[in-house]
Amino acid sequence: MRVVLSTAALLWTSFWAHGTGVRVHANEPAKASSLGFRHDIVPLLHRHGCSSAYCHGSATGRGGFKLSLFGTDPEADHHAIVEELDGRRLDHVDPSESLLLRKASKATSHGGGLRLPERHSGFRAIQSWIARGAPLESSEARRLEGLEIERQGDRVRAFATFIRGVVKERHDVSERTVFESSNPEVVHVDEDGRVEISGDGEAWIFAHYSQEHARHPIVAPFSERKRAPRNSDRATMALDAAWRRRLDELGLEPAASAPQTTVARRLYLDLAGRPPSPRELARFLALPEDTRVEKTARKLVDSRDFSTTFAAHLAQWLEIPAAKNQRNFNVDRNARLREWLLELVRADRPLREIVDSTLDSNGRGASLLSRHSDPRDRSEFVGRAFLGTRIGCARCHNHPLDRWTQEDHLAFSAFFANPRPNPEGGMSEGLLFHPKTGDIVAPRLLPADLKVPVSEKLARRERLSRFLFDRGHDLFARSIANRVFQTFLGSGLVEPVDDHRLSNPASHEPLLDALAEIFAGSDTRLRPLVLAIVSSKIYALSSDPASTRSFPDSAEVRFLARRESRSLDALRFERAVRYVVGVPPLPSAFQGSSLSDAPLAKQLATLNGPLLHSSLNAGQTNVDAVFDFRGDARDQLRDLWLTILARPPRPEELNAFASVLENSENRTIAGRDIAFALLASREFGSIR
Amino acid sequence: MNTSRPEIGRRRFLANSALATASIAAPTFSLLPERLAAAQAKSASKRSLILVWLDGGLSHLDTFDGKPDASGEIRGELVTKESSVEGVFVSEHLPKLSKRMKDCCLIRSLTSGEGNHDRGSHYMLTGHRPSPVLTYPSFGALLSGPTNASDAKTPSSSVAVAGLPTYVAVPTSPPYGHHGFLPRTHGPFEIESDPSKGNFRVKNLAPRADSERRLELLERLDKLDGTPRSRDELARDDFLERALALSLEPRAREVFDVSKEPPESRKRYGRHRLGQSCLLARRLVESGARTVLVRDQGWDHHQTIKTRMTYGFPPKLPALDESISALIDDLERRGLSERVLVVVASEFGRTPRINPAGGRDHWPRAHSALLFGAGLRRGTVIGKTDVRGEEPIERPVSPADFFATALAALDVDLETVSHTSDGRPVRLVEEGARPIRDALATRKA
Repeated sequence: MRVVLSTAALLWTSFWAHGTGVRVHANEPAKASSLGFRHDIVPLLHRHGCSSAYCHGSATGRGGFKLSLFGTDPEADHHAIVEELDGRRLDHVDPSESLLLRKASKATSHGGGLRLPERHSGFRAIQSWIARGAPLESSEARRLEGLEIERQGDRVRAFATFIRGVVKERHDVSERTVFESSNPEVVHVDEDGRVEISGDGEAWIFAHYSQEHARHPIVAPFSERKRAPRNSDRATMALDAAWRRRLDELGLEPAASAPQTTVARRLYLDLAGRPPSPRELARFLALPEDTRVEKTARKLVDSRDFSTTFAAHLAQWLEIPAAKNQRNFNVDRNARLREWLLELVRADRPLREIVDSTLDSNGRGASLLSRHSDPRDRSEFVGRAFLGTRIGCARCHNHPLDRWTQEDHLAFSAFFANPRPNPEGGMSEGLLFHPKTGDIVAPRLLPADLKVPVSEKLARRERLSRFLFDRGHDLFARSIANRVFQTFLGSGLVEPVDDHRLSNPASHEPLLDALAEIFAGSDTRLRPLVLAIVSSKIYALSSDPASTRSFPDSAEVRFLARRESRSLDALRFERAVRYVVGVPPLPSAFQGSSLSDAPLAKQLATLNGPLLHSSLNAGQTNVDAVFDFRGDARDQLRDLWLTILARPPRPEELNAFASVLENSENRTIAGRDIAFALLASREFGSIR
Repeated sequence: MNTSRPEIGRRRFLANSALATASIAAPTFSLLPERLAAAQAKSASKRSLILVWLDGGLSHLDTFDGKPDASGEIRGELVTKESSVEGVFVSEHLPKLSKRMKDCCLIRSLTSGEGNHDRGSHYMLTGHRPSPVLTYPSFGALLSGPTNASDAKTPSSSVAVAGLPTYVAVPTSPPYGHHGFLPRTHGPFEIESDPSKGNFRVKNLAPRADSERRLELLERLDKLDGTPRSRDELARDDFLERALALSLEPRAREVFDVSKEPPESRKRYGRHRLGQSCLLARRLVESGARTVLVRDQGWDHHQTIKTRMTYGFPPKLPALDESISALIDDLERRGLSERVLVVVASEFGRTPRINPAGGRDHWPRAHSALLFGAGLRRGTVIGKTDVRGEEPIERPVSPADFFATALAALDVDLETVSHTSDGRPVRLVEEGARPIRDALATRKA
């Protein structure tokens, strides 16, 4: 009977709390009689800069007074203010004479200057709080549940939701909230939340209140909103649609498409790790224009080159070093891991198998975890590689800009503790001890918006796996989709790619959602995502600044109105050189390049090293084949350009180099010299 | 315009090269702008650092922090004797350094608590405890980038050489000697070869037989490429210029050529890897390099420490003695001791108690570092360890303090804040780091 009743009551209350029970207390600060340190005073100290890294929030405090950074540890801060120095910081008889307030209002000299004048409402709030006996918690037993940010005219306001008993309350906490803009040059926000648009582009307004964070985008279009010309714009694919809507919103016009030869070179370099041969280029150009990228890409993703290229990307994401950089005692382990990744990609297995196998102590990926001895290193690796988040920040302090706390970090790490032998046989789950208290830490999943709650009764591995793949947060899909996108466009929609967090929004949120959707929708297989990206209009964009309507360069590139030419890294450069010249390829893409990626060493190796000179002088190369017969100089140059740069030469190039060939005594040698110039050129070393 | 530019490389290259006859066409190689030379000239007047990194962990008890009165299992089999500074006991295998202690500044109370090679190296080389989310830039990376370092007051006699890299590692950099979170352009130029070898040459530095014609065609082709340059392409152009200057400018290449040094000088440094590396380091800083990191491997003496430090070729301790004392003398003789800071350090010390294998294991609670030059107070001894060499009992020095001291000696403003790629501000030195005032005393006055 009791059970039935309480269930009914629960149902009722939850209905009430979510339905009619929400009371909004706009503009109403918490009643003076109920002020608590945690949610009323800590946010004030943050807002007025007291707990910043340059003041008392620094690791060693300031002037003998230490607060936690941005008030992430209210208990410790409460102790520092109320208990330290025998309570000398507070005057309970005459609160306004408290050292805390005298310093803040500069009635006593204060290194940090005037923070809170006496007439300020914050001053009075602290005063009343002291008068109440300076309690840690508010007299109203309430729990902070969330924070929202709303734009009202030229202001943003912050609303906090508290749960008090069974009642949900919504308070305007703007006066105690810290507002900041992700891009003050575009949108400036003052401490009271007044926004002023001063540039073109986009800025996110972030609100921080008492360990809760919220964000809100403000767009200031670069130009009058233009309807995309619908007839030529067959944005059939979800990606193109999401991307185009966003450009419209920003008032940016996309660049023209890059020349088809450029697109072909991109495609081969990205998918096969090498430029196209002249024959492949011709075949590409012979295909009907609207299907040529897709058809070619379909063929390329089935090639061996694609598998090695992407297995090498995966190895890098999973922090397996290139063979030339690894330590001797890791050689076998790393080789086995690489072989496993290669098989996965070749067989087009879902990438979630990587995660499952990593968490399985008998899995082929288990050594990704076991190579770290500390459970905290393991959980941080899982955070970086599979969730794209740096939970490692929370090892030392509560993450100031994200939701993870030190306790979250520790409790999540407890999942990865070493199993210990069970006296009754077999192994039992491992234990992690709290570094401060010495207690056993119960494993707990990171706080995230889960779609399906994970039962604590399940085995650890099962819990973790369900958590990692939950569609509610989609961190795995978003993180991998973003990394794949980065391999093609040079930078991710979220940068750095392992730092997805509330305060680091994607340049194209809907596009990232669409990418994640494709990836998750194909059971986390690589190829559908790859094909969707390379077939999109984004992939084909020109990198030539002259191809757009001169918006600021950085904005064009950041918001994908245009691509940016970028250098081939040493490995891709070396593979490209060997392929076009026609000397034996590197034994494995996992080996790493013989060239260094250090910029000076890389240029010296290009100019004087054996890679170019010896390859060209080896004889019987693709380059020598061009000059085998004493043909027409211009025809030969055309062949050379197609072989190396994957495009025909421009007239001025023909003019400049035809005479070099014609005046030479030995055409093979002159041809090699020109080939050297092409290989060392700015264009060959870039992906444009 | 072209005529006012410094005539870089090619002509001199022609004149100095056996290939001079290969071609008579003479288009000028004008890729090197004046700003390179100007920047180089400026850096030559700044203080430079030679960091001798004893990779593996130097046993403090067997070198600079001898405990002659301790029991045998602590003292070990290697004998230490009082040096030219009272109360400082230095290994009898370091007689020359022992004599020069009165000109050096010795830190005996380094203590870090990081007993793993990687973590200890990170702390010592970057001044920051290793972080799970950030790799910090090393000494050399910070010094090669823009810092607020004021120019040295001492006028310098050395000449700047165009194209010379600001941060050189001989032969390679240890892990964490790199650029950290700063751009890759701040990283070291690693020469990857041993200067004591007869066939020593820096990898890819010398032009090839075909270079002459080929480089000229490259210049022609690059000029025809009218596409506006992206950031990456601008960086590529910049480093191509530097690479050209370095390989075509004979003066720059000569700096690396230790065979140009008089034989008696080469002999003083010792005909071994460490000695010739120190000699090369001197040549580099003299010509304007800001940081040279000399890495000497093989100090991780877990077994038979006595044999391993005194036998073999070259024997570890005598080679160290010969190289560092020659470097000190040479800097003094050339009037560079005010301008150049020499630091001899490693990631941690070694266990005071000899282990059953006759070696010593990792000991991060106490170790020593030797500093010389840059106006540091001569004959200073910072801190002291207990009778067993286990813990500092006077002025404990953290790697952050040590880092701050070296940077202060190099005139770097310690209040400088650098930024990570996502805009997070990071102090040059860890918060709470205190530069050792006693060592810097004479400079402040």
